[in-house]
Amino acid sequence: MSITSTFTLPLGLDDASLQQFTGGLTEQQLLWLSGYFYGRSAGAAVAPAAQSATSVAAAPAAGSPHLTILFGSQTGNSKKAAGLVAEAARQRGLAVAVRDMNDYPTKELKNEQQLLVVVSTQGEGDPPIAAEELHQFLLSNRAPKLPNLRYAVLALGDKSYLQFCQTGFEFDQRLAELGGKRLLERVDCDVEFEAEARRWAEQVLALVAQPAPAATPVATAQPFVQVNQLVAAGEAEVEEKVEYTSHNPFAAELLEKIQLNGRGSTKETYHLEFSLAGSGISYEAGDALMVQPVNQEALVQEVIQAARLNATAPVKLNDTEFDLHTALAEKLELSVLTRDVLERYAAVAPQHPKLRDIITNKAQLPDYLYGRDVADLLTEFPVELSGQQLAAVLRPLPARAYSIASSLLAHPEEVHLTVGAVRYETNGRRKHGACSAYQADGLTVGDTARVWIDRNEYFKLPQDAATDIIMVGAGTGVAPFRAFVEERAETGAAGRNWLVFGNPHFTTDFLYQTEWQQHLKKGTLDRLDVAFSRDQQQKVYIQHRLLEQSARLYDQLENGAYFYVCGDKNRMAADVRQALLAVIQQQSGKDADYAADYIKQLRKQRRYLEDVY
Amino acid sequence: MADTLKLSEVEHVKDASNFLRGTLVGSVQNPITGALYPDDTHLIKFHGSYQQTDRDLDSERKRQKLEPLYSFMIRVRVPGGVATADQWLRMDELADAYGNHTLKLTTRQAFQLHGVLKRDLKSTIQGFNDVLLDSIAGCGDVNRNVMFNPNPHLSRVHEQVYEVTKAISTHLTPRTSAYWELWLDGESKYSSVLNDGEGDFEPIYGKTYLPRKFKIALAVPPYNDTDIFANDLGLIAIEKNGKLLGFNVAVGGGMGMTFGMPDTYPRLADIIGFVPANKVVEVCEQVVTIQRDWGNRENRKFSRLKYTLDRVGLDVFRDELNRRLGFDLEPARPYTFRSSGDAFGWSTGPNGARHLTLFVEGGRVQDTEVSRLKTALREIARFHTGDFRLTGNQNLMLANVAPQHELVVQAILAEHGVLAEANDVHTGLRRGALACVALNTCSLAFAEAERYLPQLLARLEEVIRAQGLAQDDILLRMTGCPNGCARPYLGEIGLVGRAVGRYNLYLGAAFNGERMNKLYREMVDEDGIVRELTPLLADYAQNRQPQERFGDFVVRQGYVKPTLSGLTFHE
Repeated sequence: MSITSTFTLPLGLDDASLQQFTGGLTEQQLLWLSGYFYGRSAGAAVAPAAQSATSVAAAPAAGSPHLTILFGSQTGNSKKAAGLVAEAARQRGLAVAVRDMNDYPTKELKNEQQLLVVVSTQGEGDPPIAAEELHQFLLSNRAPKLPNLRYAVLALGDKSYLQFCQTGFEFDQRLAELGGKRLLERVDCDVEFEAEARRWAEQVLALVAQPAPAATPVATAQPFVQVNQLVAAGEAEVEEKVEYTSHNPFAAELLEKIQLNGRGSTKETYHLEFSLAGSGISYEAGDALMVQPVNQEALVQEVIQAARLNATAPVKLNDTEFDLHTALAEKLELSVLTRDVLERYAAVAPQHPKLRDIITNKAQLPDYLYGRDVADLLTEFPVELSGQQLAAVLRPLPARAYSIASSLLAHPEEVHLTVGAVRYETNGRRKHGACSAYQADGLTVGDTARVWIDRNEYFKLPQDAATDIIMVGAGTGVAPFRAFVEERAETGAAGRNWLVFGNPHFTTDFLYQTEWQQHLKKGTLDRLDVAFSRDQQQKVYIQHRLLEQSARLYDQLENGAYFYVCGDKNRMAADVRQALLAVIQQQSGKDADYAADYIKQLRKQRRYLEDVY
Repeated sequence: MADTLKLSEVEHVKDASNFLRGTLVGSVQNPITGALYPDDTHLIKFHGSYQQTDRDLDSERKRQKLEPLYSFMIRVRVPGGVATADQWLRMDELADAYGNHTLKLTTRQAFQLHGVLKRDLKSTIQGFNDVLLDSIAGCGDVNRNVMFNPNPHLSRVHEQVYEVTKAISTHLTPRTSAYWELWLDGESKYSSVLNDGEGDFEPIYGKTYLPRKFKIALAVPPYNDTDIFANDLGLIAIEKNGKLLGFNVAVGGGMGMTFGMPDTYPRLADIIGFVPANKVVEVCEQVVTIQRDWGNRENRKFSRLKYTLDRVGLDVFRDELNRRLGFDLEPARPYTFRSSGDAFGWSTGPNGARHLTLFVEGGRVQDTEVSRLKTALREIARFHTGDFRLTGNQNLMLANVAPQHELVVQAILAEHGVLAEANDVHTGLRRGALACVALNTCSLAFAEAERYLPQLLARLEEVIRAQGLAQDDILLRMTGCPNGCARPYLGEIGLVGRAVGRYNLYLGAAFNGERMNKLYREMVDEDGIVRELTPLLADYAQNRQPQERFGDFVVRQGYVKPTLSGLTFHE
């Protein structure tokens, strides 16, 4: 496309000069320019009438203030410097938001228009701990383009170090790479930073205060957003709508993997972040992600050896040919033993009458199956069989569902999981849960996993955003509640969010502790009760916390609150139900039947929702 | 506007705290964090505790979406360093129950427990309260643990001066009942407080307490192992024929400074006169009240008494003190200090009592593969009828060992790999070395100290032995920051952390604690330290005069200029 036309241009513009200015520009650049000039003219119309302060007041309420001062501080000096700059800005009548990198959501970066970064450098050129996350994000290829950003960097440091002000340098350089426009050359301050910081503030604020020659950023921001949305919508339409299922899983790249338990914990819980980029996959808080595992290589080898087979032996599954190794690794279940497998195996192993006895003794069968895997079976009851025969005995390797731990609004094109690694030892061999071990041990950042969405119809947030929610989760059961709270924070839901969480130890097992602390600070979480069972002599579980808060709990239920439970099916869910019965009985002053009926009604109204496993 | 006093943040916190209560009740109970509310982190110091994090794990835990591993250091006061066997056993037990299984003996004769979680603070404090120990005023802007030589065998006046030490400590202990209310459910089984029960009132401190910490130490010459000149108030006992006459009064000592701020400096106390023994508590109180009224409350970096003194001048200060006392200090009496170190091994007192001074590296009582000091001392404490004395040099004296126990003590120590006679194995350099806690728990540290010093010493000992200096006492002191907990500016060799693995090297302090050192090299790493010190030690071995100390030698040879006053420390 080009701006050629056969008709006369309006406003006395002539085609030749436009061609001269725009010739050689790409389509995207032209699109950008259209927004740019629109914004410029809109700004020009506003500027004479309004002082900068009033135009600030009129800034769009996208949560993105006119001027943001973002500091990353270790000793407090950068915070102090940021305070000096903010004070100077306010004296000029500028509205300014001062933000700590420590609790700055990285996704807000792309909304910034004018950004003043104040950051120190630690030791040998490292960012302060408070800035690590943002720094890492910014330097990664996940960082967004920032064409609308005007920025400047004040770097703090200590000249006696070789890497003086390295972090400030990196912020400055990277923001420019991402398309930001540098308002002012970076200034590097030594230990005595105050005078330098004040000078810098005056210089940079003079530039900020002036309406930019092009346009006020307030005005320019709007059309850009529109342009971007248009482009995005256009792309989406062009794309073919693909449905990802077990037959056609999406290969999601693992972006991040974090062990959530501190050192010394008996638990091993992972936070995984997968990319959905390019898939068009969407989900809602409360949905689950199906993950198709691959068996651990060690287990595959043990099975091949126990069966005394060749890894390259051909195996046909559903008319597709594989070598035995691939079939065992990717297609067949090895880590657990089920009754059907045992029966089929017994059929090909008639020389083991004991096997028949095990199967026929129904009372003891579960005990036998518990903790055994295919390698145990092959070792205990050896038979001569072909790869094909073995494949026919085994079950297909199932995918596993994980409650999604993220909100798409908070993490566009990403899905996060909270996965507890299942490990135990039986029959003298170390065993691993197939899918948790696959994620814990098998996947590293950059790998892809085969995934698809499993919708959970009912385990959803209330339609009415003003409804209170009570979330009860132990261990990895906290996962969907992270998604809930993120979602309600993003949408600004008015209802109260109350989380009750339990795990063994406060210091090592408080999953997502710092995120909850931030939510509490911001009011996006109204209440958090915690039960760390093994931090005191008497074990304390979440049901005890519910009983302690019985008046509050009943009051919220009476007020229409939704009650969610996620986690262990066998013990926790039952204990929570018992506690709830007691709470209702106690608070209502009525009998057990009334309480049971109360819960029944809650279930009927789909206000008592469980996601248990 | 510009004239109004702009008080520091901590002053506002103290003012609003209702005699050190603040919001500590809520802070301690909050189950969502292992930390206290920010304002309360200032107040908890007055109760003897610092909130800290395991800095080795800060970065890792942040990534794990866990807050820093917060824990508390609790400093338990031991006036004059004298603890009973029961008290020792209880501290040993608390270190295992709630702490990190070690006891730190501090450079101010206190116990430190490390790694206590917030939820265990109360049980811990109750635990040592049961054996009549407290942590109030262990830290904070008040008079800290009062120090005194723990050497009963050395002087006949020792017992009398120890009584003075306890009297000063009691007199200057805060009167607030907040400590008992918060930690001990209102009980005051052990009360060093003279509260009359009519609401909180601080007759000496007032409700905003002092502008900054305040330190007092006493010493009986010729031993200066309490480093009295490093204190805000130092008292030098003057005796005649075994009778205590009184004390020379020295004011304005303090070690701390801040890198990059030459207006801050360490300073030694100046002697301003003599006071008879029966009036010494009054002098302490009035020195404290002058500092309370005159000290800088705007900028905490200039709040110590040393800066007040250099601001108003010594004469003005002495006149004010005499005015407040209602009598004049007498002229100072002559005295001589010989050393500031400890003497190790067995010794016998004037009454025939037996004492054993043990070398405790870094002041850390713990069990290691080589030496199970903590277990050995626990076993000894079960029968020991004497007491345990913490020295100002982070060592430990088993005092008044009963004659029938002497061999048993020897045997238990040997069985657990503890050297009774440190002189036999360690060099004088290692025996006299001091190190503060630093990384990984101290939030102020820039560099390692206690954890690392043994390793550095091993390298320096090669040089020392090669030069035939193994039995020469040379004072080396290392800190992880410039604030001075291990009195680094009084080290003949001082190493002050600048960054991980980098230290400023100071040289030339006097062995008896009467002259500070001087900056010799900046930002040197381990190789640099060894490289810089090697030729100096060689020169010392070959060219020293008889009895000449290393600190004096490097000054005489012109390696550094002598530091004659705090104000010229940086010159």
